[in-house]
Amino acid sequence: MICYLQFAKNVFQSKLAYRMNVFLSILHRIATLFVEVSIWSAIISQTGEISTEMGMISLKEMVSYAILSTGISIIISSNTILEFEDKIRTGQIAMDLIKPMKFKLYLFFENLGNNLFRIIFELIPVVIVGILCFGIDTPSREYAFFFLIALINGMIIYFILTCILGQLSFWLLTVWHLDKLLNDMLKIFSGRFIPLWFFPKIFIIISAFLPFRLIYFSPMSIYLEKVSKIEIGNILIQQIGWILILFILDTILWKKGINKLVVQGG
Amino acid sequence: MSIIKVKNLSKEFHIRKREDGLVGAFKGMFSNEKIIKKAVNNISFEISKGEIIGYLGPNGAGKSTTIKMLSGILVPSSGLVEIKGLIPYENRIENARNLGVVFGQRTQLWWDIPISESFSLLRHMYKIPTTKYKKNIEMFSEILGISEFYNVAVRQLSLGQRMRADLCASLLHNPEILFLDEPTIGLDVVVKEKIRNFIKEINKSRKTTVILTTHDMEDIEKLASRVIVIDQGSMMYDGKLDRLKNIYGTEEVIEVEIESNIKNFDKLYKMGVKEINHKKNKILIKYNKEYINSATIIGWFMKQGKVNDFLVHGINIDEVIRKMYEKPMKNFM
Repeated sequence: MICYLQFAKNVFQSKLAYRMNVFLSILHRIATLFVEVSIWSAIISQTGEISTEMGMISLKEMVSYAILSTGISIIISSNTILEFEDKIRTGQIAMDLIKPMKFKLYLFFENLGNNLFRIIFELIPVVIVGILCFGIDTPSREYAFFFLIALINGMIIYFILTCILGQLSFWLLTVWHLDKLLNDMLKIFSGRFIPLWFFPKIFIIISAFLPFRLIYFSPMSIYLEKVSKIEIGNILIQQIGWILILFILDTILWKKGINKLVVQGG
Repeated sequence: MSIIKVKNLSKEFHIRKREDGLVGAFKGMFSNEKIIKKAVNNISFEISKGEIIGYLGPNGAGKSTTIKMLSGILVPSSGLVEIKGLIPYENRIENARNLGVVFGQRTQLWWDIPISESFSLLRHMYKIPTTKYKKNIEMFSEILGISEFYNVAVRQLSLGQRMRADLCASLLHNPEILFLDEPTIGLDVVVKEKIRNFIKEINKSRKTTVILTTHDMEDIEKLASRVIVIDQGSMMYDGKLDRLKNIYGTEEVIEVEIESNIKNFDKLYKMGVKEINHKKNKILIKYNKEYINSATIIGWFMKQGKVNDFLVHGINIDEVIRKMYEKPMKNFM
């Protein structure tokens, strides 16, 4: 375990080496946040409230939603898919496989180091700016606790999804377009930019069969206390169900992929 | 007692068939025709503890593929691999604890961090006790001189430094078995020599079993007592290096450039030279090292007139293997 934590530490360290990158990404995140909040203000400001499939939503709630979804995207974003592609396409994966470590766990902890870095250097500045400029709703302690659990589950779902798509490089060699596809699916079905409240019924029904909303929309509706306790239980069960399904799929793909592995480039 | 056991091992790769040109590329998008390439074909051998094996063959012979199967990275198409009683691809992680692997063209170190950090990562990964770790680092610094670049990030190292660091990384945990896939590729003579001495020392003091693939005949001559030769995936030879050389590798070619023209080479032929080709004042002489040496030949030329230049082409492993391929010696296997 110490060894895996060491991976996280190493990524953290090597990220620190690129200082300019840190400042630019803070700038980028804050700019995005301002754009989102401005759009929502323009839509809602006249009435102060907007009626949706899930009841009335106030501007303040929408602003909180925008800050939160930016926050979540900072925490979960990863380049697992591209890392897989790169390792398999160049054959560098061989060097990871000769070491006595679990490859996915290694990727997970590398990701963790990355996320930790982002939390400190991107999330915290963005949240501070968000609170200072717009203010944010805070949930009760109980809801905050469930939000955290749902958030962590969402991160795991996202990680396994990226692993599955990344692993397809065993067969396809290039998968960067799948990275794009995943991001597009997330934009539509997860509520990353537009909450599912505003979508037509049919869209909500489709998204109920997909795991994407469990990454953004569900944790956020817990945070905003838009769901009852029973619904929270429902969300957590669905998340765990999806984690299991995706995990099994991932394991099967890995076993098949490793058999199929051709180490490129000698 | 054999530590590595390989029996009837084969590995096939499926390669999508591609035709030439733009039209061919389009056709390739829709056809699903595949070519089966046998990278390793029915190989068997056993290796005992403490041996240094030279694993030879021309490019694309299947050497690296074999090593990758031994390390558990690739899954064999058929046949058996066993290392210390374990099947590598089924027990990849456990197997990896017994192994040190160096692939000359890749690094196992982390690109962005100093090698000292990479090493300490490996220390945790292999759970190396602190005293053993310190002792090893000390020893590596002494023989390979890694202390000069101990705190430099890998991306800033030269190839020779990187290779030395890689070699250390693969040996930090005192593995019983060491796979070296072209460890001296692209290195200068001094570094090559350092690396050879190091391998020799490790083998002697720790009884480490080494499998070494290389194209450098000198590596083999200095290190290996036994060689295994494969070509196009099939086993060509398994036995003592000396015998291989005696059978195939005794022919050398000497290239001599002279000022005056020599017409009569009868005397050279009498001395045991096999073949003489000459173009103007450049002469190529093929001879068998067992009957005559280069000094004698040069001596003869010097007596005839001024020698401007000469070059001895020694035994080249690719040459030896090419000869083996032309007339394989089945009876020696």
